[in-house]
Amino acid sequence: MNMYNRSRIIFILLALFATSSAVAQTSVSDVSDVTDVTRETEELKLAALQALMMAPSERALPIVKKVLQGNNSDELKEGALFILSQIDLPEAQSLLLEFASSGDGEFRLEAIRMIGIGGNASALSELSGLYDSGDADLRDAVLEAYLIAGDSAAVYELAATTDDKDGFEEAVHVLGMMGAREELRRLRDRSGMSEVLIHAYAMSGDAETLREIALDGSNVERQVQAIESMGMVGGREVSDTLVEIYSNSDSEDIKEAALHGLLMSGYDEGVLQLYRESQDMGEKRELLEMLVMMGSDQIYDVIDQALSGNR
Amino acid sequence: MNWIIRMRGLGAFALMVVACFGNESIASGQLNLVDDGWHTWRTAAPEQSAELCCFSWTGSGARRRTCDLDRSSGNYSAVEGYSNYSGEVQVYALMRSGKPEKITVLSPQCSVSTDTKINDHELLDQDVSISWLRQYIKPHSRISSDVLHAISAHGGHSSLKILVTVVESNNDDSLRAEAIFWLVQSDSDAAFEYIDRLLTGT
Repeated sequence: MNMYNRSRIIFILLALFATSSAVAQTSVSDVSDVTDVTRETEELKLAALQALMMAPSERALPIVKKVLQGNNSDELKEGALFILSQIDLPEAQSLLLEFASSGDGEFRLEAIRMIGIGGNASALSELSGLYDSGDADLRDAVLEAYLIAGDSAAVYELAATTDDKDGFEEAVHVLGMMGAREELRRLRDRSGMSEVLIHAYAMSGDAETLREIALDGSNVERQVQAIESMGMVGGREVSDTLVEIYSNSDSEDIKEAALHGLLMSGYDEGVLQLYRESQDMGEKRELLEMLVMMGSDQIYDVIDQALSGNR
Repeated sequence: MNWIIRMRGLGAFALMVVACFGNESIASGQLNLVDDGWHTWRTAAPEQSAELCCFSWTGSGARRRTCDLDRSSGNYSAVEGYSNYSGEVQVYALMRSGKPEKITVLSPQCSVSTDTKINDHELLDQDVSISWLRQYIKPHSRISSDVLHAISAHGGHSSLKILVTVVESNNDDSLRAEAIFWLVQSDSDAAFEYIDRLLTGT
């Protein structure tokens, strides 16, 4: 496109904008045009923001700062926050913390999450102060930031020091998602056992601790929770333990929990083994129903044996 | 500030950019690549400080190697620590039936290989080079992406002017985004002033 054409297009665009601002009554098609231009401008801005990610930090920061302080769309500002999180300059981290401390609503929460994405240790350490004074949404955002950054030590500190039951449970849940076995074990020593901790052990894949609780008869309720949770961890060794627990227990609750665990782990061989070992018709029926529920092919072996008279 | 004022500001800024850059005279020479196959020429790129070449990456870092022009991807890159002191770029264009199929820009000192003959047009005026390239910036055209990169590698006002024009007036959104990307990559004050204006309207 030559200079003449380009200038003409720009002139036409300027004339169009001037006219549209001067017209008092706006038609439907005018509104549509305005929407298209606005969308187009927004897309260009988003493309410019993306490009800034590859720019030198010193170049990008002043522009990103202006975008954040200006009257821009939420999408654009969130994009700018992301770029800010990737700029490894003290000023960028300070700005991010400023927005995390005093921003409005969702924007503030996004700034907190971006600190997690940025992973700057100093900025992350400041989040615990916000956590203590924040509402539920803010606390969730801080935990999410730590989850994203993989900062299990910070989450442990929050769980270990909070007096709030919900706060403790949320932090433990996050530790489970992070697979932070050591931190979760330390919490057991510190805060005692709870259902949320047992679930977190399962999420983190800590079969060893679950087995320990599952074999501890001092608290049947926790024992049942641990046995069921072992099914979530799964694996041959854990499933064999569940079969063993079922076989060695006289408690209906324990047996049922072990069976649920086996259902969750999908270990139909173990259920078949229990079926064959059982001499109790009622129990055999229950185990058979479990195999059906599991969609197990082992059921055909049982049917064959039953038809041949070998139960 | 509403969008009308912002767009007016941006349009006016674009006019300033075009006016500022538009004073350069376009050299009268024209490049006419008739034959099929690879063509190459050198041209001035005074702001291009990074070496554009092909590199192998090993544990100890990047090592320069010959670029195979016939490969679709040849680990082409600019690598930190390798500087281009020549102030020139070497443009390679693969022509088929009068149209470019592939365009690559390297540093002149970067060695290349190909199974076919390369027609070397030696040193060309930068405006001639840019003028030839810009005719292939077309919406939704695969080669446009190569062209934008090649033009941006030339650097200077002419190059920026074309990139700004693509951003302002092309109707291919992905091409506009690419033009913005290359503007940012130019690392020039004018380009960042434009990006600033685009994003903040100031």
